[in-house]
Amino acid sequence: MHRAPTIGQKARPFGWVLCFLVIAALSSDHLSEHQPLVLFLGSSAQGDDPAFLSLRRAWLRRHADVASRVRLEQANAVDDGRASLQQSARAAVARQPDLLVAPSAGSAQAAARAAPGTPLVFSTYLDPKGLGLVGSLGVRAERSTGISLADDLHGKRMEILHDAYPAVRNVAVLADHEWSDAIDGEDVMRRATEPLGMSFHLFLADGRDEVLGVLASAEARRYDAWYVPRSLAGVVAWDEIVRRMRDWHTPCIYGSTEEVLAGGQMAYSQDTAFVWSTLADLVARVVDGEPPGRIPILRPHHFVLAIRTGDETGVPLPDPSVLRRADLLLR
Amino acid sequence: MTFPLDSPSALGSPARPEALPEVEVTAPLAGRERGIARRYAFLVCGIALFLLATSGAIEMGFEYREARLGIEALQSAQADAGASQIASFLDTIELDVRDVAKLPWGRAGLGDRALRAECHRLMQLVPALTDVQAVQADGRERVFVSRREVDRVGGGRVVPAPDLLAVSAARPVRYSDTFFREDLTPAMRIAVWNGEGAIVATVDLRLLGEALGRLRVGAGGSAWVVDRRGTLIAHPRATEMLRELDLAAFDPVARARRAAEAMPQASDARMLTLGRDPPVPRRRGIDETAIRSGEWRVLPLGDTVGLEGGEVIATAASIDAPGWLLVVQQPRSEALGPALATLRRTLLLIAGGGLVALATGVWFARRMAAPIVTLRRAAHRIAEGDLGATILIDTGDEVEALGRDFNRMAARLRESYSGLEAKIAVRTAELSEARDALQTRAAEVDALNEQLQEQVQELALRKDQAERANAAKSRFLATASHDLRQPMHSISLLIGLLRERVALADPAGLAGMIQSSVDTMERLFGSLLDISRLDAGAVQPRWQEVDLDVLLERLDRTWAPQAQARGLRWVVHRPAHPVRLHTDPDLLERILSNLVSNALRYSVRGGVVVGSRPRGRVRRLEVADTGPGISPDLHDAVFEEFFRAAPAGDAADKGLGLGLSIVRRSAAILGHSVALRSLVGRGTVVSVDVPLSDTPTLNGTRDTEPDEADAAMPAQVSATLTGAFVLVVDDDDMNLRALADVLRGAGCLVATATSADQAVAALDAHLRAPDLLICDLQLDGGGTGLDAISRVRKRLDDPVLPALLLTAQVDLEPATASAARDMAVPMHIKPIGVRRLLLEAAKSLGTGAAQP
Repeated sequence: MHRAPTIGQKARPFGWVLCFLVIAALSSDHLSEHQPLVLFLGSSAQGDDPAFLSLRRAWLRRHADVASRVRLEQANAVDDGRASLQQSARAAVARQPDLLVAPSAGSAQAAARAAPGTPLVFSTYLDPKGLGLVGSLGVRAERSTGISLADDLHGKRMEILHDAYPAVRNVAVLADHEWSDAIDGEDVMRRATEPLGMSFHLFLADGRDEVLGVLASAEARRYDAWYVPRSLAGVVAWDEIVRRMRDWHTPCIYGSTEEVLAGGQMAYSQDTAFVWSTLADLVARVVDGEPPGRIPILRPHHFVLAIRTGDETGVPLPDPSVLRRADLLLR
Repeated sequence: MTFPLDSPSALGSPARPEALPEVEVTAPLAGRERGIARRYAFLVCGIALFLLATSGAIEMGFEYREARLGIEALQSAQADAGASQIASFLDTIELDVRDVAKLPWGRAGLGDRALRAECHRLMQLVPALTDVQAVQADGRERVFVSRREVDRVGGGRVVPAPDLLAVSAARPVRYSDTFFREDLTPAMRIAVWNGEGAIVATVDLRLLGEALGRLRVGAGGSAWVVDRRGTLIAHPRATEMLRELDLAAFDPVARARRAAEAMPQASDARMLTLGRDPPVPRRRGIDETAIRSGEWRVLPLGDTVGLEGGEVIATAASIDAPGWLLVVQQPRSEALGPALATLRRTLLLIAGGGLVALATGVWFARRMAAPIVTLRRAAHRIAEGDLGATILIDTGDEVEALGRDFNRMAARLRESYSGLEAKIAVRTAELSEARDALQTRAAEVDALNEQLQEQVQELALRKDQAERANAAKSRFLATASHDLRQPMHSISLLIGLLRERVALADPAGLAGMIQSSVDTMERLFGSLLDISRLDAGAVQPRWQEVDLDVLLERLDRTWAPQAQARGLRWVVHRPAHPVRLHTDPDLLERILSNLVSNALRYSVRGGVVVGSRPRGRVRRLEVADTGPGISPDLHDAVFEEFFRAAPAGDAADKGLGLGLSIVRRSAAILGHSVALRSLVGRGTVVSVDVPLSDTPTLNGTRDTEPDEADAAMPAQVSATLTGAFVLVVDDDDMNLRALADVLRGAGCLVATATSADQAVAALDAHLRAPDLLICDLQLDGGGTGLDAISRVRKRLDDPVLPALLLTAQVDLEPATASAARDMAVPMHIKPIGVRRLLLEAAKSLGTGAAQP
């Protein structure tokens, strides 16, 4: 005999569906949790910024579990001036990020100004205390942490230059105004060269054109050696600087190993290989809820003396005692 | 396997075919009987589960313990390796510095430039070194080589930590306390004696963190180092080292420090002279790592708090030379993860084994219980009366034999039951007949009992009536005897007196008094005869139609003169129309006459009314008076024999007390109802209801009794009595006058009184005290002759005054007789003749009263 289904029998499929939905909702992090947004304030267009790519590689390699629940994106910023950085930082803050990552002093300053309440992880070649990013390198109140690559190795570099080429007396220094303003370049270089009995001339150039202009001047060829510290001036025209030093057969010491790897003669610098992995670690810790102010500012603890010994440098070999001290010799 | 119930035909059972259905009890059917199967299941499963749980718990306990031991062993090995690595790190630096210090610096070819180059080489060899100084014995710097600062050669700068320079040939190496540089990086210095000064190397301890980072302590574990002050100086995470954390009071550090303090052999000297110390055993057995001979290198800390705040399992290892402490920690959940996973697997296995044991136990229990349940169900069917139940069990063991025995027992039971049923039927029929007979006998006995009960009740009623009648008769005879003795007494006295005075001139008066006594006796005897005839049933009513008017007219003629003589108003209401009554005219007239007589006797003023009124089928005849009335408690007593109320007028006319008794008996014979209504002080109405129909007539007769006389009086008695003063007390005037006359005739002086009061008063009226008292026992007003005698004796103060007591009562109460004897008063029953009276009087006068 056919019997009409009861209300309970009719409702049973809906009950199963409801149970499934409830279980799915309870098990889904995406429905119940907010996905943090981490914005990287890059220095070039999206997709091409090698710094962002380096960070993302380290991020995915070291923190894949965190990366699955955090959006790491690059803000559309081009570091071609303070005004544009500030504007880019404001645009990035408008996206309401949970964390900002600034890979340079300029972007860090712009981010700190645009979003003082937003956690910030930075990496800078300038002293963060001097930049106003933090009040202390230890535990502090600011919601920011990062890596300070600022070095005071100018005197050390002059010493290595002098040990390598004892005959050098006049040294030309090429940097940008930001570098000089941040550390008072004139004073620093005077204290670095005077104990060694050397003199110096500071060439300040902002942008590639200005650097090329300095190199094209007749005065540039009067110096026994050149010193190119880590600044925008050395970055934007490194190829031309290397070519000119080779052509002039003039010794040159750089502020970073990258220039030596690119063809420069020698460099003494802190090892920055740890930067991207450390930045990725710091981002993960902040995303996991650790207050940025509790994380001390990291400093490099390895120093690298890199020397290129091939004929392509156009200069004679440095003194053997310096060669023996080199950590990296490129032939 | 099945356990069928065999059909009885298969067994050749003699039981009825319809009572032997074929039933098979299979295992599922037996499964519905869950009692024994459940018990078996509980037992089997319980034992299996208990064993599984016990073995599982023991196994898990051992696994957990082994896991903890394994973790401790692993951590001990890790801590030992870490501590060895750090010690090796420091040893390497120390050896490299020693290698620089060994050269004779200052000699030719080993000047400051060479020393600077050697220091650069040293730093090239030891990346952890940030600075190297060559210091002279006076504390001035000779050469300074650095990775950050510009080198100094021959500057003569004073070294900021002179204590480091307290090295010598005897103590060639010294380690400084750790310190934090301006950039918060931890560092320490190692000073090595170089023959004339020291080579001081500054070590960047962040490289220790890198070394610790390579020490794998699980996925979430870590190793960290605190210096002798408890400050964190090395951690895989570089930022932790920069915090300058003080962990001296942190649980694992504090516990390790306490353990170190408990081991005095761990001397600071050895910590500071690591290079010269005997080699520390680097690889030792785990069991030996904890504590050995007061020196510990590795100390398992067990459960504690991690540096990040969570629960961890930690192990500490001492690094002797700098006095550091390495702590290896691993989150407890991670460390015990494999053990917990094993425990979970064990639990799952136990659960799975339990389920299997449960299923097996249930199956096995049901299988074991099935034949028993089959037996039980078959036994139950037999118990319910189905004797055809048999079973077939083919288990091939004792149970199958039990089934066969059961079937034989059932067959025997069926046979016995069949014979028993026939016997029971016969016995039941016999019992039914016996029961019917018993019921019949019981009914007869019940009827007899009822009859006997009725007869007993009737007998008791009749006995009660007889007893009451006997008592009434006795009372009647006693009263009649008393009342008869009074006139007889008077007559006796008067006749004796008449013999003495026959020659006197007044015989007519004496004869009149005798006649009066005789009349009284006639009336009394007439009434007694009437009552006797009525009680004996000798009076038969003579039913007639009686004209009421004639009856009332005759009453009027009879009683009107007496009413007038008493000064009472006499009214007879005769009916206006003829009224015919069905009654006995004589009995009815006697009834009415008695009622009228009583009414006239007890009415002093007012009058008596006789009338009638219709009451349906009867005519109510009423006699009303204006007498003193009768109180309600006496309404029944007035119908008793000899009941006499106090008369209203002359005491001599107080009646016989038989009128209303005759009225009641006569009315009872006629079937007429008599009613009495009375109000004390107002009067009484007595009514008789007479039917209006024909009645037969009734006749009767009357009898009389003979007299008696006394003998002649002796002369001595006369002489004694002559002149004696005798006081006579009697409430009966006739008796009083007769006694007085008799005593006067004997020459006595006589005073009379009717009561004790009058007797006492009579004493005052005479100058002489009486010589003798003669008193009647019963006096009016409730007094007695004994009272009168007592009062007179007391009045005369003569307790032995002679006295005689006369009474008509033949049944004296014992108390009265006893009182008379005590008072020495002779008592004589009436009637007493003149002669005897005088003899007794003379006797009392001559002898006086006897002493009590």
